[in-house]
This record gives sequence, structure tokens and C-alpha cells, in this order.
Amino acid sequence: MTEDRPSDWESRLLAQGIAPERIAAAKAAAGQMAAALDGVAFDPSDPIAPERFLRILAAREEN
Amino acid sequence: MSARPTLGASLEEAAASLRAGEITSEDLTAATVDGLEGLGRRLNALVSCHRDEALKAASLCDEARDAGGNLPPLHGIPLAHKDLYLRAGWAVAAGSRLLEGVAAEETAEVCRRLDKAGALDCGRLNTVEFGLGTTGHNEITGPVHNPWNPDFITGGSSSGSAAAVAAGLVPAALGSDTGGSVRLPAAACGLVGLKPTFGLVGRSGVLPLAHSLDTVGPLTRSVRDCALMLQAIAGPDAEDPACQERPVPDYLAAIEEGAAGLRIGVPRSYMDGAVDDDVSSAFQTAESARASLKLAARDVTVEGIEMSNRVTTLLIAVEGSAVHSRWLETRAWDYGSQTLSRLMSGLFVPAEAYVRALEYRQRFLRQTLEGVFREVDVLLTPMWPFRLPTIAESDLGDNPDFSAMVMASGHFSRPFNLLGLPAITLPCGRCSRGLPIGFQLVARPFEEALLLRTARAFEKALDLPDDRPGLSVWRQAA
Repeated sequence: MTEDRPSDWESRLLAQGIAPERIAAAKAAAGQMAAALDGVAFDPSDPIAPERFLRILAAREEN
Repeated sequence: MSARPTLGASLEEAAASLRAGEITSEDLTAATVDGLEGLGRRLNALVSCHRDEALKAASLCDEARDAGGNLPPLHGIPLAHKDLYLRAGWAVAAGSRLLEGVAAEETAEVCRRLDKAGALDCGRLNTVEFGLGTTGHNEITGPVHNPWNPDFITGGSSSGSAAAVAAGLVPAALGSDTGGSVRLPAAACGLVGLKPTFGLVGRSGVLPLAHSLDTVGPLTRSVRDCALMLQAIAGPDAEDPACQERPVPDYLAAIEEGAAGLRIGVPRSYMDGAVDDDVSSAFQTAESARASLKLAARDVTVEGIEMSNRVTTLLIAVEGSAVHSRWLETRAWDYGSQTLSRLMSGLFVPAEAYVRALEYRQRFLRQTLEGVFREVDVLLTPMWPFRLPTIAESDLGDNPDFSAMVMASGHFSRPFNLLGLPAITLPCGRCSRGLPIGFQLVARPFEEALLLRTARAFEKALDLPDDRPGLSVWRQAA
């Protein structure tokens, strides 16, 4: 990494000449996707781990 | 001297003819590479054809057959696969400028498994850039034409695989399915397409899109061929940590035993208002087949399914942007505009939203297995929710309508990527414009044998005419 590497994605994309309005559209799309999860609360008693998903798939007799 | 092989035979027919010495692998492979380089190129299905390599391998297959002894199940059958499957020494570009001319250093585990099963690898078939898209559009390589009518899309992202199999150029091809990319093009081209359970088929050597969703699956012209392909590719992969160590059943052993006694669930509330008249009418044909099989059906509510499409979109965007972060930082302009827009959106999703998406998936899976799949054995749904658009109608660039179309097209495919469940599509009719329409069956994790047996029962009950695309129509328009 060089010292003049922009610190955030917006700057990195702008530095390559990507139009600000395209970046704004990407941000809006990201916001819409994230908003879909507004009703989903993080439950610390049900920790997420990729292997847990695999275990549910593999051992459905547990269910 | 063998008979001149006719392209368009099924995988089973080709295997039987080769084994019986009615045709030679060399003749069949010559016809296949001619077809790929001719019609395959005109359909824009073909990316690369390795004629000399394939013919040399075919000659060795013929020698082995002449020498006698046991032959592997796909001995001497020429295939070609989506341009995401690495083979050492071959340029595999994923439909992108970013990998143009880069030779692979390894061979995908599934290609090694197909080699072991005796199949020949003739080349690579077009894909939506990095597998990111459901319509089949690729600004870099151009659209693939649907063999049923060249004005229409093939669907994507395994667009070349679908076109090549539907046109009879190869009997089967591998695609990959992250949000519907095997099933949607298979349905659009009148084929059978299988997305196996996440973790059944290894993905090492397959260019990734979203690691928690990517699956490898075949496109074929029959359910039995689909079972043959799955038999060859399923099993552990030491280089893919998500791929599970478990015995692979014989998928053909009970495939003709029918579906009697199975309970079918139809998520009607999820279908309400989501499907157009053409799809609704074709789905009735699938329902009639179910009735003729005397399979009990009930309406089911899959709790949480309404938001699953959007959550899958989020996971694909975030995981895809992580895979592509180095290039996004330095070569953003080399991406097609749709690909760049979707990958960029992943860069701006808050990390906590990604974590909550994973949490949601875990709960969604648990409640689906504990709920719906206690009541039923197989889910029956449409595949595409709307009749197939033309290439022109769906060529939306990166304007906001394209995201809406991607989202809408994945209405019935993406929930089952998120759940990791096995899902298969097979044809059930045609739309008012003459293009194929498919439906989908979904089963519990690792119940591919049951799923294939059910699909085979539907296939027999539907008894659709064995018609093929009118390629003369394509030639007239070409």
C-alpha cells in the first residue's frame, strides 16, 4: 500500500474517475439492502459462524 | 467404422452408443467441436474451444474402449462448461476484461472429477461477467442468444451453458448458481438445471462470486442426465472448506421409483401477485402433473421468505465486493457497468448489516426445516416469475430498472440459495411467445436423491413432447 492511498472507498473510486452520481447510486442501493434487515436484531445468544450454518444443513436431525 | 454421430443425443444415449461401439468418441468429439465453433459461436455461447486437445483425448478414449475392460460412466463424451471453471493452461476469463488472457494454474475439482468419470472437456461457455446477473447480459462479451428464438435472452448467469445444451451442441454443461444462475437459464432454455445443497459439490478452482452462496450444478436435457452429472461431481473437496465429507448415494438407483407418498407444499401466498399469466398457466400444468401423480399438496407459508431475496442480494454484493476489492481499487473501469454498480453497492453496506444478514439466514434455515419441511417433503414453485423478455427489452444498462429486474427474476430462486437447499428446475410448457417456462422443486438438505426421483416422476407425468429449438429460425435471423 502506498502512503497516498485514499482512506475510504468513495475516494478510491473518485480517484479512478468514477462519477460521483454513480457512487451515490451505489450508496443508495446499499442503504436499501441494509434497510431490509431493519427488523432483524442481533442475538448474542445465537452467535453467527459459517460453520454453524453448515452444521444446521448437515445435521438436520438436530432440528 | 462408426456411424456419423448426431448431436443432440442425451448423455445416457451418447454413453450407451459409445460403449456399444456404435459411434466413436473421436467422431462425436469432432462433431461437437464443429458445432461449438459454428452454431455455438453464432449463438455467442462459445468462449473458447480446445479442439486439438479434445480430439487427442477422444482418440485415447477410443483406444481404451477397443482394449476392453470397465469404462467409466461418461467415457468419451465431449462436454464444455461455464467460463468460470479453471483448467490448468487454459485462459478462463469469467466474461470479464480483468482476466482476459490469463492462463489458469490449476484445474477445478469438479473438472477433475468429470475427467475421472471419462468425460472430455472441449472448451468454455459464455457467462455473465463473474456470474453476477440473471438476465444473461454481458457488456464485455455480448448477449447469448436463446436457441428457441435469437431475439430472447437465455437468462443467466450460465447463459452459454444453457444455450449450448439447448441447441444440442453438448449433452450437459456445468453452470454455477449463487442466486439462480443454473436454474434461471435452464428454465429459459427448456432444460433441467440443478442447484445442489450448499456443501455437496466442491468449488475449488471455480472463480468465486459469493463464497457463502456459490454452488456448482449441471444443466442437462433430462432428469436422468442431471443425476448422471451430479454422480460425477458430488463429493468431498479438500480445497473447499464448505464442502462436506459424506458418502455420495447412487442418484440413479431409485430414480424410477416414483414419488408416491411424498407431501408437496406450494407457497401460494409468496406466489400471489408475483407471477404473470403465462407463468401462472404453465404452473397449472405442473400442478396437473402433481395431481396425476396423486401427490397430496398443501399451501404452505415459508416464514421469512419475503425478505430473503433482498438479503441474498446483500450477501452477494458484500461478498462479491470483498472478492473484487483489489481490482475495484485499481481497475474499476474494466468492469461492465452493471457489474461495477452491483459490486460498488457492496462496498457501502454497513458491516453490521452483513452480520445481521447472516443471523437472519441462520434463523430462516432453522425455522424452514423445523416448520415447512416437517409438513411437506418437497416444495413446488414457479421458476421465473414472468415470461422471458427479449434481449432488447431487458437491455437496461446500469439504470435503476436493471436492479429491479434482477431482483424480480430471483423471486423464486434466491430464497433457496440463502437456505442452501437443493433445488431443481424442469420445463412445464411455453409462454405466449413460444419460449420455455420451467418450474422448481426444492427438498431438504442433501436429499438430492429424493429430489431427482420426484423430478423424474414429474417429467414422466408431464410427458412433454421431445421438441427441440427450431434452429432454422435462429439461422434465418442470424
